[in-house]
Amino acid sequence: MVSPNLRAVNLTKTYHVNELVWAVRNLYLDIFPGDFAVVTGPSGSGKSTLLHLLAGLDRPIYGEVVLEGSRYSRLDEDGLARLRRRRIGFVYQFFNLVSYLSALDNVALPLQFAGQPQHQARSKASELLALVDLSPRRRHLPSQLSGGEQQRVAIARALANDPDFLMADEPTGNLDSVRTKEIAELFARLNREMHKTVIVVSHSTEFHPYSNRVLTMVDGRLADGEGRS
Amino acid sequence: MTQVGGTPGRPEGGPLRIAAKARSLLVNVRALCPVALRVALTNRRRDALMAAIVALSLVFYCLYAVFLDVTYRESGRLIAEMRLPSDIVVHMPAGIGAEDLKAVRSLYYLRRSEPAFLTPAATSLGIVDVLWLAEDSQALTGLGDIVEGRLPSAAGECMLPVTLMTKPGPRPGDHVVLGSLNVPGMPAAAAGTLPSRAVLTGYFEPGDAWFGIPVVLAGGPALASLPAVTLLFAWCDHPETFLKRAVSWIDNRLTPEAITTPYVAGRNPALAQVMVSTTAKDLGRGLQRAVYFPTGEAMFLLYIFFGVGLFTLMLLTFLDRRREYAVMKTLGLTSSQIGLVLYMEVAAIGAAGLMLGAGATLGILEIVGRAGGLALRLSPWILGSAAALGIVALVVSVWFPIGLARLATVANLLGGQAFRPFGYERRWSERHGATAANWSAPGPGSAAGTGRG
Repeated sequence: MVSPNLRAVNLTKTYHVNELVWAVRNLYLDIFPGDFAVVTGPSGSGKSTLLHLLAGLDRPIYGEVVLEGSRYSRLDEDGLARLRRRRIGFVYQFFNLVSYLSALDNVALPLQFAGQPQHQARSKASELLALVDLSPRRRHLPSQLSGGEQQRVAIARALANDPDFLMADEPTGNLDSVRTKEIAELFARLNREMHKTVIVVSHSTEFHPYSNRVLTMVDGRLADGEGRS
Repeated sequence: MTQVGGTPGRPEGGPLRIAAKARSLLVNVRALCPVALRVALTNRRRDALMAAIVALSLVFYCLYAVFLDVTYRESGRLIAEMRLPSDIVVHMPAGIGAEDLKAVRSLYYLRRSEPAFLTPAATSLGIVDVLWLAEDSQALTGLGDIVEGRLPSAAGECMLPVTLMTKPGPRPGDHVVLGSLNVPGMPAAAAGTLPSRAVLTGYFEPGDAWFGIPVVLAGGPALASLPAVTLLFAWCDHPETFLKRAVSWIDNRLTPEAITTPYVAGRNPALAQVMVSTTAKDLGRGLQRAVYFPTGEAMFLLYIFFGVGLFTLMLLTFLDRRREYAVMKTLGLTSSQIGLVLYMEVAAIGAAGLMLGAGATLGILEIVGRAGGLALRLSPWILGSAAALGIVALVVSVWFPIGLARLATVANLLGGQAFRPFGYERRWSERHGATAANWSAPGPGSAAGTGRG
């Protein structure tokens, strides 16, 4: 039996803005190698919070995130940063590209952060941009790229350090249906050909045909049969 | 369960660990330097503004420090106790009063003071007759040190014998040239051979910062007992009356018996104490009270104002870049690496500001110094202390963003939620009923219902 390589154990996250808000509540989730999981649900159901917790971008109030038997939700911020550098690529809805760097330099950035010399980082970044069909646009600044192109740069950047996991928070939230389909196909290709474990939070059903799991969140919990509450 | 994400292969030993850290720092600097450079160049308007503020703070600080330094030096000279140097020998005639003794010492004090302070200080003393006697070699050796002023450059200006400007000074038989005093009854100019017994008289004139030696007196019974060449300095406010006073003084008070108890440095140290006028001291103290201390306080407040302003500006600028740090952290940059990027950027800003500020300060000091005839200089201490204080402000202003990057999660930095570190969120939730007990949560490790589709 294949064991999960990423587990959420009794994961809980609350916010308070005058009152207590349960963003994620007692959530159990196993992600297996090669999974393409799509997390869906109504607005405010805790999808993005869950993804942030799984990626170590946020901290749970209770519970653990366990990666291949090792828990990391209690690591300090620097420990989490090192972990993300090696294991997790993250794609935001609003791309979060560095506006003053070209597409090539944006993709090379995590490689430089990992200590690679600039020329090596750029060479690898060129390959990644070719992978997402953006070679001709590699010298362009983010502001000179369309939304779909910016998102593909963000995906290439997330792949820079060859992570096991690729997580995306509403990656097509700002794109039209054509671009959404392109991005969904790109994620599917990365899952299929590069064996990345993909977790995508999305309202769009474009991802569903490519995924092997669709997880529905309601009020901070996974729906019956998908999670334990 | 074990934790992941630590630094693998960390050496155990101290020196090895330091070497590993140094290697790691070098790798990080090499990797992050292009990024920091790019950040600085891309945000050049913002960074140029910060460099300009650094430069402006530096200029203010240095100008105030230079002014303070000048004030302190000059007022300190008025107040400080002085001693006659060891190479001076003074013969004090017997019968000379305590006031005259003070006057000798005061003369030395005045001569040592800045010309700018000589006139008001001398004026405050009133008319003082000073007898400064010295045996020829010592006196003349010290002559260059005693004579103030410059060679006459215009008719009726002043009048130092040319030969007196050179060491060891005139000797009996020397040809001396005297300038004109333009005093009624006095020769317009004189030239001749210095007699074997001579007294050169000089005077200080209030309103002028230097003195002349207008005449050579030769002969007379009183002079026979003096050393071969004697300098007699008098100080008066009316040159017309000076000669009469000087001659009368010599005739009436200088007798062979009067030459007693020479001052030789170290032998009678009580006499070496240079007398400083009480009025001058009051002037110095007043200067310190009225100028030095208020200026110092103003400078301190201004520095605090600019320092805090600079610090706040840098802090707000750095804190404003939270989204940038969030992206950096998402891509795997640790807080120390973020700090390294910021420090490199700050170093560039600080270096540019320092060069700009030092250049502007030097220019302003040159212009003000020339206009006011003042010797204003930017000492390395002032520049160094300004640079050190600036570095402290810049470094401290970077600490906070680094601390923020260390404590805040990416979600915090992206603004999705309030920044509540140190378990505050959990404690608040528990106070409002969110405890593990009322969640009826199953124990960890359960594989049931794990979302496997």
